[in-house]
Amino acid sequence: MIDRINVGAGVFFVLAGLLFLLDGLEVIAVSATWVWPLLLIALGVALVLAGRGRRS
Amino acid sequence: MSEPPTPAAPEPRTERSLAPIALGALLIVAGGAWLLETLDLIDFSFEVLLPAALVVVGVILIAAARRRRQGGLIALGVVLTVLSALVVAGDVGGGVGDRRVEVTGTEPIRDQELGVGQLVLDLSDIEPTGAEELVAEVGIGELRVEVPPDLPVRVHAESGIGQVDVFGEQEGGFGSEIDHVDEGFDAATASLDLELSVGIGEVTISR
Repeated sequence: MIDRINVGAGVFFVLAGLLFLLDGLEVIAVSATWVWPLLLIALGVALVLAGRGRRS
Repeated sequence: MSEPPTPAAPEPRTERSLAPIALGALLIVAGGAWLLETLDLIDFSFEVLLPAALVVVGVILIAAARRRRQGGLIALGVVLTVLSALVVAGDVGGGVGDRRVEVTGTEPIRDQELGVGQLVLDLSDIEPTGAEELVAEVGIGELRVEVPPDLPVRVHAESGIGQVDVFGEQEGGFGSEIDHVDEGFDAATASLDLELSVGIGEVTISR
């Protein structure tokens, strides 16, 4: 059986890591003003998904 | 009559957490990168290393989809995410310390960057002959800019976490930013266009 939390967290970490990596390599510029709101949204989505996973 | 022997129940499969293995591998890679940087063989940068480690943790988690919940690895990923975000928000290039830059008359205005500390740009006595632009960034700390009272300016000031103060107008918290354009800026023959940014800390511009 697939653990959705493992997969969801893994996908999030890969996407966030790639975003930060591209910024570190100066391919794109991630504005400081976007980082924290986006992280808060991602944390909220993760908590909602974790809550749904626990009920089912 | 004796009952036939029942086969022994299989031992429950014990799955070890992947977190110690992943953490160990990351420490080996980080130590190796540091060592190679010390030997001047590669350029070691937290801006690249931390996100790369985050990607590795994510890939391991996806590969562990059919294993039990990897709480330790998820916690490690959260820590790496926050550290990566801090490095991005507080772009730590440009050095550490306090710096004061004073420009007067028609001297050229150069972009400024400071990693950690206080950066003061005293432009109160500049006399530009055309449309000048300036980008100033501080990773973690304070950025203070002073401009002439009668020079039309356009300002975009932002702070990832902290306070922005543009000619007395203030905003604080996460992702604070203020845009300001003086009257007559577009028509002025001499003007100053400012792009001011602090990752964590305070931006202040005054006359």
